[in-house]
Amino acid sequence: MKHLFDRLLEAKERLAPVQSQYRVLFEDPSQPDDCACVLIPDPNWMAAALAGGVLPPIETYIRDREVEEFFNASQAHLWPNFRQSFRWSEHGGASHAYAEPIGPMTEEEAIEYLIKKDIPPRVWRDYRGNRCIMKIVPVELIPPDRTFRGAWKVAQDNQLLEEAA
Amino acid sequence: MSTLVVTTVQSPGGTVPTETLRRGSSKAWVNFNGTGTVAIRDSFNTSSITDGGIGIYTENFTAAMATANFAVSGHATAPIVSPNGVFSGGDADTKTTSGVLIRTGSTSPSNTHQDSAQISMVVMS
Repeated sequence: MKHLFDRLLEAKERLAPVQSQYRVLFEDPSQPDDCACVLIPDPNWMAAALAGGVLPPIETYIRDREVEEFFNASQAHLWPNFRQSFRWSEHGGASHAYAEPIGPMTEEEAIEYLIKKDIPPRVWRDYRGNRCIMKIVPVELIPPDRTFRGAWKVAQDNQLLEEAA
Repeated sequence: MSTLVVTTVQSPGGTVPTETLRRGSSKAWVNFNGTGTVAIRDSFNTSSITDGGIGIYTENFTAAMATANFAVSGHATAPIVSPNGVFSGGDADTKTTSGVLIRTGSTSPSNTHQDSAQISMVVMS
């Protein structure tokens, strides 16, 4: 099995980039005072997701993140200069690198995959509050005017989403 | 597509192991527009960027780096509101093998986060 890095090199050579029509708007419950974040899918990654045969199963990324977070948490109490940096070679290697690639996804499935990969689980899995803190929205619903970007929050009604649909 | 399988590459000056070439190459890069509706122009080994607010972005890698001790270099064109563009990293907790947080801003009139129309970053490890 080729390393994921090599599969990405090949995919970039043969696949045309695909700009996603979606963005993921989310708030981090661990940072309640921060503004909402926007996840922007990469066009080359999206092309690989839609084509299939490149990306590993999402479970491998989730497992790898837990390994790294556990290690970093074990170092957190140390002074910064005494903390060890995480190295995959000391933890048996990243499981997503050589995992069997999965088949093609739809754009909607690719966005759900990306949420699990690039947004912390405390947002999409562990949050138990009443507020809606994450939405998948069409790109045209993201305001192009960033004057008040620092005050963005996830809207609690779905009026704009319903109108867009 | 043809595949060349070699262990060294030879030049008039000597030979170089292919592993050295591999280690010397960029492991991820991205070029994106940080103004208006933020969008990625082109990239390699990037699954997404997270827009965390004015001048705050996280690049997420598709294939993780071998270690969190990778190097990041970047460039941001001068923001519209200021002639002095600045590119900097986040704190240590925002650098993992799967992503890195960067900040763009200006030094004039004071150190503030600012968006930039051309933000590029390269990761080496």
